[in-house]
Amino acid sequence: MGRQIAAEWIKARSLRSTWVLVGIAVLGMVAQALTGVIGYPGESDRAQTLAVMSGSGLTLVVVTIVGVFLAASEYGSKSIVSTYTVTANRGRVIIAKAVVAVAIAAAIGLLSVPLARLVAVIWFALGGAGHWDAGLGTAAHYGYGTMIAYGGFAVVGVAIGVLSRSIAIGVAVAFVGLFILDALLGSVSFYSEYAFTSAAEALNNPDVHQGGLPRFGSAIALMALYAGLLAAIGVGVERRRDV
Amino acid sequence: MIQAEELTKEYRHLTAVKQLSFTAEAGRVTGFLGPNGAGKTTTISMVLGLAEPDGGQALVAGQPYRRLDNPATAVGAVLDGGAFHDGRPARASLRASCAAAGLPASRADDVLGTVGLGDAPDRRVGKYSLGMRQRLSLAQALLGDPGVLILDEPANGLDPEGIVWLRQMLRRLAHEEGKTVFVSSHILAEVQATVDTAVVIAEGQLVSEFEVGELAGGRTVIARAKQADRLAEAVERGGGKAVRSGEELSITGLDSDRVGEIALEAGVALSALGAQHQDLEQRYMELTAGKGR
Repeated sequence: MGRQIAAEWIKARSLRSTWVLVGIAVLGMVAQALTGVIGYPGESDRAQTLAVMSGSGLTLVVVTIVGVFLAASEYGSKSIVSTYTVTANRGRVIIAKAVVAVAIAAAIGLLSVPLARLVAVIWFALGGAGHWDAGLGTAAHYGYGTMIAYGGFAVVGVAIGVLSRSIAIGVAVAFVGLFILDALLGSVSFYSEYAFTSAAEALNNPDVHQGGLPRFGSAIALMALYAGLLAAIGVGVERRRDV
Repeated sequence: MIQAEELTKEYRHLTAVKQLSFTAEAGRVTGFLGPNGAGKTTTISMVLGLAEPDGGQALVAGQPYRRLDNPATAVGAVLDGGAFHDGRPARASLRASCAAAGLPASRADDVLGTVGLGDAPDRRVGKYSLGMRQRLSLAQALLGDPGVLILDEPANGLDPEGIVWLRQMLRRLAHEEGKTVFVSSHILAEVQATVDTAVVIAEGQLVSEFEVGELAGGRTVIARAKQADRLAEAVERGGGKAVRSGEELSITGLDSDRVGEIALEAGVALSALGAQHQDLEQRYMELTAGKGR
């Protein structure tokens, strides 16, 4: 399995598009932090700090696209033929892609809090209103919550990429499915606690308790369940399909 | 060795391959020929585990491809004019395969040198010419120094020098290193110069499997006589095979001297007698006439 992960990492890092997407994801986090510091004048320092640290919706979209891209670009270029002739076990290939997507997404998530802190420091140094009000424990909570949320969305992106075998279709399906349908369903009271996007929101803002969102632990379980289920479907379907 | 046993593949409205059986032996170059739509690529896909057969099985080194422990060290494949991402440097593409196969990364540079791409390893594949992509595909196939090579139209895009290089390399790999080389191609003159055995398919079925070397010595004797029927009977009695067209007989299995003697013994006057060489192209056209899809 380690060999396949190494191969998928070489593939991911050797494409410019991967780094462009990572760059956009980081910009998404900067935008989120800026919105946090600028958008909360008059709010409490605590509310402002939590808003600055919360995971970015735009970055969630981008890490999903990273996942779609890692999987689907192989079909568009037909390089999947080389991949499957070298590694005949398709399940291993897909799991390796998911591991690499999670690693990239988690690394982006790891940057989230330090980046938020940096933006806040610059904002306050420039005379912006507010004050940083979060201890190390809260920061760590936000950090790993965001990493899990990004990682879960990246796995779902890989599964959608495998199932769609097309970047364009994969991105469209991911966008409509995750960010429109699931978000709409999330507004229905009995489903809201089980929606995938609700789980992401709970992980991105672990200390902001809103009605209709799952608790932090439940959100992790939901994220793992949805991502694992979709990945399993992707592996099962791909094993039976011709290339 | 590659063994196809009653391979069958069906799509919704089409049987692409029907009960196809053949063997590609180690130490030989086997050509896989057929008109467009004959089922060559589908067959190769099934051999490589990329498509699941609806019937029969394909074995490589005695096992179905998907059960091979480390396929890259058993089988190397060149498919589809190179299956590489345009945006990825050639060396990185090969290094990814090295990593997946558990081979040292330096092997990528070795094979790039072998195929003549040692001076452009970090160029993105999209910047490669068609011929360079073909060479890169071959490099990918050679990575694990496999015992079996499967090549789908490997000469596409190669210049004349590249074609000669490819021919020499394939023959060397088979005859000197004992590898199984299985190659599909449309360039029949090149196939004749390269392969030892030809497997011809049409409409998804085996049409013929023969030794290409026999074609070089194989001749068709053309004899013309007013009593063509009588001559045909005498030829058949003498161990030959005759096909009549008017006063003309196309005779195989006998040389022209023996046909002349048989005609004399049978008391048949010949108005013409000569030998005609049969090449792969002629044989192929006879075998596949009207069978393209």
